[in-house]
Amino acid sequence: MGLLPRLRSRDDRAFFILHLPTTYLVLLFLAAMLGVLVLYSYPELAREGLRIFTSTVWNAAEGNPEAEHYGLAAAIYGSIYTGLLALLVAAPLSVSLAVATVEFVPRRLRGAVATLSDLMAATPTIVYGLWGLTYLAPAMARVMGWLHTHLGWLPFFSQPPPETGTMFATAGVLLGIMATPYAAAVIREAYSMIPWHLREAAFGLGATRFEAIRILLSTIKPSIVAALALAFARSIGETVAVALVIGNGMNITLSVTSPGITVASLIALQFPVAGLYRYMESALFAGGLALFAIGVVVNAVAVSFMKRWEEEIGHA
Amino acid sequence: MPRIEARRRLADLAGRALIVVLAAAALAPLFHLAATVTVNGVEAIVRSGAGFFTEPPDPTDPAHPGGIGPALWGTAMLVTLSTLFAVALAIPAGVFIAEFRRAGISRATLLLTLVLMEFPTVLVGLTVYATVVRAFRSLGVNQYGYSMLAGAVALALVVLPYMAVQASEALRHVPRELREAAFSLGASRLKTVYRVVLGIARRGIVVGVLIGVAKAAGETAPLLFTVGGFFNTYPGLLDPGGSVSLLIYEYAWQAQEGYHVLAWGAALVLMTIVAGLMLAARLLVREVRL
Repeated sequence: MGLLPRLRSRDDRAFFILHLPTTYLVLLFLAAMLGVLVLYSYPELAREGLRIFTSTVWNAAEGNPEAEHYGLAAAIYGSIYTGLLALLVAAPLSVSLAVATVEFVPRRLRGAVATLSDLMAATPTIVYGLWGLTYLAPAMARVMGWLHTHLGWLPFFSQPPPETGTMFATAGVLLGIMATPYAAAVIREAYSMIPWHLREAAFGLGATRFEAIRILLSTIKPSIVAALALAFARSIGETVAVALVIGNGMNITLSVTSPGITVASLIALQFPVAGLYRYMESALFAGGLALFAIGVVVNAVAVSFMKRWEEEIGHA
Repeated sequence: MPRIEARRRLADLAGRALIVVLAAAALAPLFHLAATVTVNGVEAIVRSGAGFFTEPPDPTDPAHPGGIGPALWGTAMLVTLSTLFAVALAIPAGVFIAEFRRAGISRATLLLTLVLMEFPTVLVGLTVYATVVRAFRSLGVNQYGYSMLAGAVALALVVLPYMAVQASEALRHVPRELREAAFSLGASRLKTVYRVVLGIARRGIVVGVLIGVAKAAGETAPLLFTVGGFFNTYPGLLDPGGSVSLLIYEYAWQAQEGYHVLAWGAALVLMTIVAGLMLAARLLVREVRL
């Protein structure tokens, strides 16, 4: 197996060459994205150096470009922290939803539940954002207020939650709710493809229903990891829904009851005013550069797990 | 029946209960969201009547807040254009990935495409802003530089990887015998692939396109810095404008009731569009891979 396909005739060669630009197109798209991000972030990168990725200062000064200072550390931290919070919510929910759909939902209703869950996975994230701002955030303010009063000694609940309910916890829970039907669809597909004889073998050895489910789940671990990695990738890239509920605070803290920020939501929130300052737009492109790097790594990991699962199925 | 220890029986019961409770907890917010979008959305549409789909917004009057006509037109325009762009590029890309699937170059293309599938879409928005919008601004196409065309380009780039992967998956499953039959009739490879193989895989390709369209209709982030966010007049191709998704985002920030009424109505319209496309895709094939 080489880089190029074996082309046996002139017809094959013509066909290959005709389709080659599609490869260039994908490469060009990635390269253009990276090129634009580097080019536009250069002014601020040159000014701040790598400090832009380690500092949390966000100092916009109108009419005084020298006083402008921008740091992305809080946003990068926030992206990863809300992504992890989302996983914390989505992992148990999506695995349970997938298993319950296959195991416990009556056959006649299974299609309806699967359709509903898939519809919710396709629902635009901005609709989740509107719902999160209107209903989830006030509810989270009450729940987190209670947790702060009673478990405030834990670093996670050390701050009093804002009255609006826009904070790390709300963004994390909203992202988790959004990711659940998506991850559940991937896990459900894998779970329903487990060969029947494995289930029979488990019951034949005298396993209870729950023990059998645990055994079956252990056989699709790569697909569960892939589903959760994809959910994490989605959460990190989510922009508008997070922008509405995260609270726009430059905080690096374990406290989920504090307002936060993510790279994507920072770009969305600050871009409309960036034109007023000399370096802010450039700083936001530097944020884009960081998001690009995170996005490539997380998606590559997710894709590699997905491939591993597909190969395992191929061998089974 | 062999006797099962009480401890294992209890664990079984607890485990099953836990799964059912967590699954219900997963579905509950989804039901709540669907219910609130329906209730609030219907109320918005009732307040404005049929004008909700045609009139420009009038958020100062919550009792009769006008409509989302221009934004709806914008979404239709953006989705149509971006689908045309994306399909024209995604099908040859899918063909390339599927036809040369053993070659390293095509496997590498597939990997890059897969990585791009869930890539942060806000970056696509930034890229199109820096290229198309900036160029239009300096060329003086309009006073802002934002345009529906730029938005359509951004959306096309967002859904392109998805459609290409779906097309390659559909093409991969076409039986080899059919290509051999076409070749034995003396058809060229181009003709074989585009007339025979593509024809047989069309159902899978159409499903991929439909889901891509649903994605494009719901995307907001790629439009933030490309279309401008104007919701009061019907835009042309080179004018700044808006979309239903962008209208929801912008109006959600506002404090007055009229904006929220419009945002909920827009959310119902958007969910109906997406649900319609998804159901159409599901009618074509039973399992839809997201």
